[in-house]
Amino acid sequence: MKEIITENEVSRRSVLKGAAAGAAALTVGGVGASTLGASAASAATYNVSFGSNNTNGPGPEQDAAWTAAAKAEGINVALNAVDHNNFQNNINSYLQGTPDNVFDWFSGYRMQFFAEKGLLTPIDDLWKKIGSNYTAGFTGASTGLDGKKYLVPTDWYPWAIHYRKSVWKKAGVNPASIKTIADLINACKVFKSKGLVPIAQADKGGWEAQGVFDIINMRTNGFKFHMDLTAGRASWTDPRVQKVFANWKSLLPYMSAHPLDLGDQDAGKLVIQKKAAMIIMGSFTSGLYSKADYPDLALIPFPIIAPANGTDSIDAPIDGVLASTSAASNMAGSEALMEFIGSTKFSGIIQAISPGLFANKNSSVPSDPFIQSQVKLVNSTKHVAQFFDRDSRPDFAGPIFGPAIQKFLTGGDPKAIASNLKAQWDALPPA
Amino acid sequence: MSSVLEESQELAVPAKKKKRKGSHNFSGSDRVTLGAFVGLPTILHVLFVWVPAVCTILLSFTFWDGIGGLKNIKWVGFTNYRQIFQLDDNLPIAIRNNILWLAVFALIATPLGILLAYYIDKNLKGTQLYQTSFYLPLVISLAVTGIIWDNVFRTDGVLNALFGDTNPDTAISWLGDPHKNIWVVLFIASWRHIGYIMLLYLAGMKSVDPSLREASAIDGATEWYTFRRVIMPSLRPVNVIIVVVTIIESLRAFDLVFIINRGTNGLQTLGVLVYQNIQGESTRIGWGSAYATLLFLICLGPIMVYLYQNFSKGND
Amino acid sequence: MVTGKTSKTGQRIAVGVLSVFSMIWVAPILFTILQSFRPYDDVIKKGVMSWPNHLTFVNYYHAFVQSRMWLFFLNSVEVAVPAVVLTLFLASMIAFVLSRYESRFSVPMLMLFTAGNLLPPQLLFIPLFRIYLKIHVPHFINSNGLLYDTQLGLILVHVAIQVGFATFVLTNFLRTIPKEISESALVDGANVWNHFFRIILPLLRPALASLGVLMTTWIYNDFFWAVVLLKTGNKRPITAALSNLQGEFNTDYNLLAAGACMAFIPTLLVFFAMRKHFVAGLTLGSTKG
Repeated sequence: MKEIITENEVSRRSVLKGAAAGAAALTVGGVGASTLGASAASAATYNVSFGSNNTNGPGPEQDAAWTAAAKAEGINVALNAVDHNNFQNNINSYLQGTPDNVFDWFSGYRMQFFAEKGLLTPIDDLWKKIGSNYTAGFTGASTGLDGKKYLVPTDWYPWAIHYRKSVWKKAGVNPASIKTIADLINACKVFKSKGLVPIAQADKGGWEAQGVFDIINMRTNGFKFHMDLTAGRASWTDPRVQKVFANWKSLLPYMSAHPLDLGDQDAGKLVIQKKAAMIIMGSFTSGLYSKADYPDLALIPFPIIAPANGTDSIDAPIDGVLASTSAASNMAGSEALMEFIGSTKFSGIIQAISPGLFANKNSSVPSDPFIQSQVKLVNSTKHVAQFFDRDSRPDFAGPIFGPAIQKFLTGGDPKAIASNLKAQWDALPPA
Repeated sequence: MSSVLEESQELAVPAKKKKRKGSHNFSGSDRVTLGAFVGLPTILHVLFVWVPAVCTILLSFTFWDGIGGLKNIKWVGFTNYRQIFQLDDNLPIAIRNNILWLAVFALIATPLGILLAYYIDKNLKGTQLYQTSFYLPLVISLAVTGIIWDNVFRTDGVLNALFGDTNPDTAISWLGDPHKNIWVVLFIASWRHIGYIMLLYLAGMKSVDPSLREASAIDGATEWYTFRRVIMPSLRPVNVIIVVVTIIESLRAFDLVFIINRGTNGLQTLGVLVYQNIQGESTRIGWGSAYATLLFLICLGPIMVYLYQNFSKGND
Repeated sequence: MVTGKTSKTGQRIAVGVLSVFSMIWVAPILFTILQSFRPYDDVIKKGVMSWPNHLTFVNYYHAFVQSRMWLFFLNSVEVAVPAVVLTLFLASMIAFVLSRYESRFSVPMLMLFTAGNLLPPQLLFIPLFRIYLKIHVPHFINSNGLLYDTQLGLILVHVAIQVGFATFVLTNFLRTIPKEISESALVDGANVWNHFFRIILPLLRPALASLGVLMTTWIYNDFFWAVVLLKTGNKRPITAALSNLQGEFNTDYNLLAAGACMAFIPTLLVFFAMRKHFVAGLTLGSTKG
């Protein structure tokens, strides 16, 4: 019964949105459309193309499950799955070529940049309907610089210190005792004495350690300075930047000696293999854990550096779906699909395959302790940043800031690095 | 195209003395055939290779983020060139790496390839087996090559396991240490290149007239003398190809370093710098094009000189 | 069998060098094959060099069935075969004209083609992408009506680039063949068409065979163009699709090894099947030298 109702609702929208989209859908349409005939605009079958960046792990299974459910609601999804890295590397030509109507992407400046360039279609009408499902934070993260809405947020994850409870217990370190960076360093000393790498640090990809920069900057200089710096309102030659590097340096002896050898997964695996005691990483690191090891995984917030800032900010990037320029000619279908992806039905399907946190506030939150600790962490913070490469200009974060941090990790002089960063920022063409 | 052809036919006669009688009496259909034979490949090649290349050179004098129409392109003169030399500390590393690449290929990989070809040419027992193993890397794509050697050189990989230390902190960092990783990459690149050189030389050596060698042997010449004075000179066409391939492969080096760590941290090459700026989430077409133009100029200079010599001599 | 004066010690050194080198050459490949038969959990717990508890086909099953590597392999074939055939055909035509009807334009033309092949592919990408968005193709080729995101487009870019190198090689090759052969044909009154198809093309056969094998490996192994010119995941060749096995959050190195093996085993088989013909072709072509 429920399905019929939804279908009617969808069809009504297609009529309102104009016959053109409906007719286009019918001509390309599947079996249902042809049996009903061209006049039956109420067939309510949308054909929408979707660009997925999930080709591995639970990705294909999730995609198969939700596209089947969408079909039952009258949305035929033509899925175009491309691996994550290639999807990201080619996003620019993808969006300017013949993009799929709706596609997987991220929030923050990473989305606003493409919106500013006119490569996205705003979805304000849809937001009027779904807006009440999201808290102010998610709403803001879905809004472009022009004030229009572009993103339907799906899921998110916080960055924090992740560790295996059993390893800390065996070493005699109590996670609750780590309040300040001095506590953290003391704990690191204990781990080191037990022959463990205290902090597994990855930076092979050039982005992993950006999260460490973020959190040390937010703890040292506060959320506002961090956001000013990423957006270019503060200067890289500001002495506060040097404080970040200095604090980071105090942790370096306890981090992996060769971070540039390790990708995020390699570093995460060191924690699983009990060779490293912790990792500063997004909670997606849980994807590495087997069913048996998963209950052993836990997190704590990165400790206090400057008391004034406490632990009031974290990185917690949001993923979601956007409408490309091609959606404009298939708006009814694209909006129907995006609405479905934002629904609790969608999050329920994904949850059933692998647990995670969803943006829709009506989504159920799995009861397992690790997920609950993520919720608790976010609820206890005041400010949420996205991530360096989502908060800053993409032509700065990727090609300039990433290598600069790699240089720092291989013994580069922080002063020289900072002044080069400033020079490079200043030389960027106007955005 | 047709004008080029007509002229070429007229000129062919005096240039070649009267060697080719009657070659200027082309019928109409012959003209069409010749036109198509020259025209089709040339159009395809020029449209898809030279036109884009020239456009890129022009783009190196502009600011453009690669998005939107051509009206977003802003002419900035030599700004990009000034910036990449002044600001980008990747450039010196990239140039160093490209030179190293060329040096290792020319001075180590190529001689080794010749040596292996020479031994294989002796038709010793099991020669087929050796030959095949040297061919193997050539049929394996660079994407797969990256996967194969990552197994060996990861900190917890085979090599460190053989050395008895896979502890991520104390083991040798083959790929992560910016002073070591370029040598590892050059080793892997040579693994491919040596097989290729060997294949080309072997084919050339097989083509040397056996009677020449026998004559040389009967004359009591040493093996080394025969190799240098009899075999090498007849391999001149192979040598041309090898010089060209070696230069191309070392200057264009991209895939392998890109697979290993996206060409960062000591593995920058000019090819990588081009890619990083023109492809990716953010594009800086001006810089990328400036790098590409630089690469183009470096490639073109020596090769054109070499080719010109080769072709002008080769005509007789 | 022309070993001639090689001494006993010389032979021993040769065998020594060859066996050491071939071991270095083959070992990492064999190791990868071994990895492809090991379950991932086993390796992640015990490390890459641990002794395998048991071997399994499960990685191959995942790569072949779930990750549809068979589909991507077929894509590779659909691109590589036409691209190689077309490259060789076009290059033979132009090499024929440049070597048999020489003029003062021959060398510059040859240089144009050779130099074109030397250009780094990255130099071409941005303008080529724009050109591909402007070229329209019939809808049976691409539902978008554009050359972008078609296998035809991928084939054409490979042909356009590789034709440079092939022209260079074939022209060099034809120059080593005495012109008298052609001249006798011309005396017989053969036209250009017949001259090419009846006389030159058969002469080129050995060179085409070796060049064909070379170009097949080059084109089959490319992933740069495949990734930037094909946005549809399902159209991509196997080298590009290998990264499908590399997960966003978790990469299974053993699955990756299985995928890698699946990508190179077909080329290996083709190579073994063609090798006799290949080597024979090389020697056959050279007796004319």
